[in-house]
Amino acid sequence: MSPTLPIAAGTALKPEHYAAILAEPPGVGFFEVHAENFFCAGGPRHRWLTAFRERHALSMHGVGLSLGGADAPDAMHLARLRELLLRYEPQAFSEHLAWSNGPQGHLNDLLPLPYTQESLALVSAHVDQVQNALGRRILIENPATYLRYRDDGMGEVEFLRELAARSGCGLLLDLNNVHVSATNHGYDALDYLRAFPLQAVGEIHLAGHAQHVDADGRPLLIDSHDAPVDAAVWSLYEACLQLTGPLPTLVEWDSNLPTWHQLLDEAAQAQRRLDAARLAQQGAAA
Amino acid sequence: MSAVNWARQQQVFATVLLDADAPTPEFLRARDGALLPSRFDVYRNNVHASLTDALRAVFPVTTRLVGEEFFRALAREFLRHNLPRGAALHDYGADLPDFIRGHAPAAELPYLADVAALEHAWWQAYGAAEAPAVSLAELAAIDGEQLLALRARLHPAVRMLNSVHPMHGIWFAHQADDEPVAPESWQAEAALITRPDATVQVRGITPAAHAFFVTLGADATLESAASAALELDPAFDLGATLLLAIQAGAIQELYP
Repeated sequence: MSPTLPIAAGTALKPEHYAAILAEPPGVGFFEVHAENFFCAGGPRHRWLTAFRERHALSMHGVGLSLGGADAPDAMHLARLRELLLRYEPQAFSEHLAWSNGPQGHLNDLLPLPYTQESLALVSAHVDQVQNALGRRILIENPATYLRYRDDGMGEVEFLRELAARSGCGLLLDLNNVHVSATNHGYDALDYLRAFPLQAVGEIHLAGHAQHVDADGRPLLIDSHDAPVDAAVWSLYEACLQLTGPLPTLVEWDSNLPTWHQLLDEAAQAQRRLDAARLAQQGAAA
Repeated sequence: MSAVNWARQQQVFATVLLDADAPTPEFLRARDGALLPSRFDVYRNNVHASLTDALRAVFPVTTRLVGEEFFRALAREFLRHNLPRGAALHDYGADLPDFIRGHAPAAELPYLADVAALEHAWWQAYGAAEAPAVSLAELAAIDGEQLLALRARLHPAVRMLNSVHPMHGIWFAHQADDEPVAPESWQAEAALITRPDATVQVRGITPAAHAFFVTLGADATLESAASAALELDPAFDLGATLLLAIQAGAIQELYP
């Protein structure tokens, strides 16, 4: 049985906040780091992470394995991941339903894939391969997308449900991504949520997005992780917790970083909703 | 549908991402089944912005020397043919110094490539493996005659660079946010990068000291490394250079 994250609110762990966090170790449920930032052999980054890991639960989040690509995952990348997971024993490891490696090299973005039987077979095999190499169950995150494919033969929810069933992987439900994609593609976020295989969800992500206007004059949301969680995403979170009960929840923030206390306050807002969900669950059981 | 369908589409997607003039692939759709090039541009912008940010983080002084706008254009040109080989970006841009050497618009700043090389080496030192370093007490315990016959294993974080320009002085002048002051003397300068106690340090060293460390790193004895340095500069001071090496944490081990 794989370890699991504490059912509490956590935050992204950013170098800009290291000193503030060490000076006054907070009561957050867990921290999350991007695995690729620790692909170097040694040095300050590893010393910091070792110090945090001694005190806190840890989620490791991959952003570059390119599981959604047509090619099998890169052997060197997998070897580094394996080493990292052995070293830090994080409570969770997650990756994306996306691709980032092209024939010219690594593109450093989470790019969309078609939802077809062909790609489903490929991605299922990749997830299977990764789980075998890492010796653990991993979580796969639903993407924020701006385009879909003409050939799509199924919806994203169906694709993820099949992927989890075939590979045995868990899912990371990113509610900001649900809101962003639903707006961009014109479907209902709550419908998406109700259809989602919620029993497979091991972690929830919350984050901020940017609002743009598309060429056709309608809203275009960008998954920018540079702002507070939007009111619509908080509502979606509350709706989700009613369906799932409390789950480990992470507040992501990757650019235009706030102060550590502002980020901590975002996590506290998630924690309040988790506490309410727990009370509701206990009330229902009593 | 053939089994290679997705592989082919992915290849097209990646190629069009890097080419601002190429039309949006016809197999993509936005809302209501429309094909909106503005949607594809979101991905194009993400890729260029994130990789340019990664380069700017590795090369902050290079960016300051040429200005934001020039650097963005340089990065765009560079990354089109030099995408990262993997997802670890802390030392992305190994080929940027060479790219700058061949980049005509940068020819006005002949030292730019060497400063960029120094910045990239800084990040390699930053992420290098952990290892112990020989202390002053350990060095002092070795008999002087024996010492010259020993070889040295350099610490994994050690990087050495040479330049016909005052590379280190220029880099150093741009470490603070203040308006940089030009180096006092405009002459050839080498640099030694080390990481004692997990802190990267950059020292300007003489070309002779550079020759000493390079020779030492090639499995030579201290004596022959000193000879290489003395050939360049008869005033080379082995004692002072060894002391500097120990203070910098440059030597992992001395062995016969």
